[in-house]
Amino acid sequence: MDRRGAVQAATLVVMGAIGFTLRLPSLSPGVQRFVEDRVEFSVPTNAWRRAAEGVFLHESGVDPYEGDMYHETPLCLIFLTKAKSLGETFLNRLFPACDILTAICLYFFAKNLVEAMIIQQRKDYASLKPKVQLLLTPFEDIPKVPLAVFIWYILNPFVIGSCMAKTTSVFTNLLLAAMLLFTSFGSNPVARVASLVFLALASYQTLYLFLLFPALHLYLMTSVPDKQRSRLWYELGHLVVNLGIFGVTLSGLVIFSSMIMGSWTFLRGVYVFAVSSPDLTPNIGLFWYFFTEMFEQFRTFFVCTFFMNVCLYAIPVATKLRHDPPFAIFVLLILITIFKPYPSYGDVGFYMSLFPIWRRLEPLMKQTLIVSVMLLIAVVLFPVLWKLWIIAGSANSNFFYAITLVFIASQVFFVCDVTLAHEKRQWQLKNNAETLEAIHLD
Amino acid sequence: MEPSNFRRKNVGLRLLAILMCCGRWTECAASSGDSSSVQHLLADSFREELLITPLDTEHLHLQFKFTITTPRRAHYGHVDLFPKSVADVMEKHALEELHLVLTQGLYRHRQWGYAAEAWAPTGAQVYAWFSPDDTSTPFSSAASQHSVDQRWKGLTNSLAGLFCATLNDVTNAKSISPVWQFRPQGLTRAGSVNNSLVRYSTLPRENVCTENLTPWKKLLPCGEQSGLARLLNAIKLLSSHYFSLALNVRPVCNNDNRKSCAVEEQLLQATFTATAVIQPGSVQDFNKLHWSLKDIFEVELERGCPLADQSLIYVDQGLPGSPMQEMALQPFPSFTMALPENNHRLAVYDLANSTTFNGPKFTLSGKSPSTVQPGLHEPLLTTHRFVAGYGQHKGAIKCRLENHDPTSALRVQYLEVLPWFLRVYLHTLRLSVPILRSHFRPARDRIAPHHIELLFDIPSASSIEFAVEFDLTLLKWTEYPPDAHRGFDVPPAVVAVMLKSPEQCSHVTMMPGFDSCFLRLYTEALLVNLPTPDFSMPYNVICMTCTVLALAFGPIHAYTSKSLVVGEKESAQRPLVKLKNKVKALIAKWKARRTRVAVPDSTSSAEQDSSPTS
Repeated sequence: MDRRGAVQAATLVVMGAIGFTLRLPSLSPGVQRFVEDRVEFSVPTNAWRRAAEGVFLHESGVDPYEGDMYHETPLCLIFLTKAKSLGETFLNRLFPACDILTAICLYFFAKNLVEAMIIQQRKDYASLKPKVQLLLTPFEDIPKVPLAVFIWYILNPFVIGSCMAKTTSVFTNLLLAAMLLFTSFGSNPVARVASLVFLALASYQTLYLFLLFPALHLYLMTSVPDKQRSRLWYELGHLVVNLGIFGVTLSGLVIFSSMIMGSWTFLRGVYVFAVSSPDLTPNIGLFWYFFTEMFEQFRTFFVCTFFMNVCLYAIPVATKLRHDPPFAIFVLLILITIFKPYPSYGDVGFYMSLFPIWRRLEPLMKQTLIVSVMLLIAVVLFPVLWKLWIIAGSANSNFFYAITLVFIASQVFFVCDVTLAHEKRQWQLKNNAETLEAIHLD
Repeated sequence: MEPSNFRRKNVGLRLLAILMCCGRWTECAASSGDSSSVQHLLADSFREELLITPLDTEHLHLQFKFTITTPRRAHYGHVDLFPKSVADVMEKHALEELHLVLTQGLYRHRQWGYAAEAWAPTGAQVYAWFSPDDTSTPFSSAASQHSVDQRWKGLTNSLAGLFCATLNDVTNAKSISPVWQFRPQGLTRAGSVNNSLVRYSTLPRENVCTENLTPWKKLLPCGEQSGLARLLNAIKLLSSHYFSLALNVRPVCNNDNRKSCAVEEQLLQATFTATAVIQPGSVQDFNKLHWSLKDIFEVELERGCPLADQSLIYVDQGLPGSPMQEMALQPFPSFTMALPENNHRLAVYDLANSTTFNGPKFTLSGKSPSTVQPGLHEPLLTTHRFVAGYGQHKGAIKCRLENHDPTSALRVQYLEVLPWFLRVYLHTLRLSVPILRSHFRPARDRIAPHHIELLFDIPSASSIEFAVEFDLTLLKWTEYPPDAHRGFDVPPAVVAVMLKSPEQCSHVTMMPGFDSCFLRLYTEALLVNLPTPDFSMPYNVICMTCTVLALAFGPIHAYTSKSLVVGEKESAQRPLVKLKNKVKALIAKWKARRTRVAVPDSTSSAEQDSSPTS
């Protein structure tokens, strides 16, 4: 066991070093310039150029939120100003270092989660038919899955590109990973508070992440003893406490920001911007072309509809997956990435690296080939059609729009497939059924 | 911007004489806040001038200048010579100063040298100083209580109507309040020089045509009926290389003291300027400049405007020793004079004096000596601005400024107003010399443009470059003009500089009260291509995007609201199904009873029918 542990640790260190090196912009300045300009990686809410612009304006004594260039949060502004003052070399190492830290957090999160899953399923499904037992998470997943998560994150081209382009998605991902890690520590009250604080920080950074709260709350509740959970008052008490910690932290952050900036203008620049998506620069999301082509009198209506749409999923998904809240968080992360106005490859890469945790769903999934081919086509064609439209002028915006639809559809198919596979698995385990025949969705 | 002290003094004396004769010299009103008590001691005056400057072997610079003054007051109920509509605009929007210029073509200062007084950017430019909201001054009108933005909007709309120009396109998204540039040119008073009171805007795409020239001419006291305005032949002017129409209104003082001016001595001065660069010669006259007013305008002058106090034509003969001094003028000028500021010699024709006329009509012609050296007016500072980069994603705006002075550095004020749809990254701003002072204001989408003002020195005999990078953004499909692929115009940059010695000023006339001459250059307006959406797509995009949305919504809705169960047993337990079966059974029972026909097992068959099948 010790030897295996040593091998594991060595693998982690080597992979971490490789990942760090791959992310250094000095390794391939050409690639770095390429990804920095790519709209798939850099969107208005996370682009490094915009962040640098905000820092410059702040240092020149101009309120960065007065203009329409800077959409990061004030604390991020302060942080980046400090980081930038420490020099270019420091910055070039800060981003890869944060990304490696994220990978480490995810590694331990996956480890804790797989262990908890195995304990839980031993408790829940004591006697299963041998064929059904294949659906369970085996013991060998305990070393394998966390390593897979680590490697998927470290070597994920989406994440590497996002880090090389110095997008602030790197920090959001780190906050999310820290939230997941602390949540997986279970009943430890400090970890509970920390996970809620990290969720507040992540929501402060990227508004839509507040939608993870219901799922996170249920996740935190899994570590509460069953005796307490069965009582309504305890449950309500926990909800109030969790909501309180989250709400107080988030509002504290916002108020603190307004004190730093001396005004509330940042609310417009950060949160109103994130909802109303006035910047129509093309990206991989659903919004830009829709609102470019929108009839003026319906704009407000559709802004509201789209915001409601993304908010709609939080509670139903969390309720449906109340027995498996980590999976609910995973599903919600995908849905938020699909439906937020400015998604980037950084967000896609993050949820993708979590997928190995639920790799036991893979045999039950029906559309993996379709999804992966669509994804591949989209990823290859994004730069090609961009070039044809923007540089060569031989294609038009519809080409790029079409490929964003393919990319979004692939993610939609993936999330539908993975949820349905999860449902099937749960059903088979619950009913001790070997096959899925004779069942249907009622 | 008086052309010379000489002329100004002369006018002052004449005005004074007229007033004395008319006996309107009443007791001086106390300079209190009560505007109604201000007596009008001065009458309106009108002066028309034409300055002809040979630029090089081919081009002639012609500048018509019509100056009308009226006593300044709060309410212009009645005016004599001063155009009533201009006075109304000044009053209605509570303006201190108004500067409007409409220009066709680009003034090539690198080739032509600096022109006298008027340099204008391509298209339309308007800037105005507004009165502060301060009722203690004698000229304040009720309009000064409206916000400056409101008054600016009203002003641009009024001017649009007055000059048939699309100045109503001037919105806050195209306007700035310059911090150091565009200072007041006339009288100022305490509290009125505050950059919240100035608005500046340009419309580089504005086309200037006869429809602007006609209303402009109508504002002159003599219209186009007589006087120098008769020469303003639209066809000839608009086919010139450069044509610019300007209106400048500012308060001036009847005496020379700019610092303090008694209320009753303040005048409102409107200057109508028309400038053209014309190529008069034919191909045969290579290297010879041979021109006559008759050939240029195809109109002959009969006399000056009878309402004008002065009607003068000047021909600039350059510095002593310049080949232009040998220009043969026909007829002989009334007199010649030297400008005290820069030693330029001017030949002057007084149209009020009948001896000037060498016949019933006045024809003026000039013939330059056999060869005129090119590069006669080597300008001291030249600019060149251009867009760098390719594609419709990002680019850079660069401006090269060259100081040709071999000995001394030039201190330059540089102003860039860039439209909001260029996402300008101010941190990429590069200037090859240190910036002494800077002012930045980032753009807000559809609300305010980028505003960059810089102060820097250009070292002697060197060239420096200003560069700033930008991203191009997609606009809403309704925001594109019908010719979306033509590109979007970026207003020119403004370069202002003080030239130290009079020799440097070349053609530049001196600003009164300054030791050095003030020069303002406008760079080229630029054209950038924005990415365009497909304008025929709105319905398709709405449909397809919503389809993808529904693609996710449907399955997730089904997933979260339903669960996998095995068939009949559980679904039969559902309360609704139970209720339905009960009701059906009851109905069947009732039917059976009513028809009094015994139907065996009717209830059980009904139940079977209603139970769901897989």
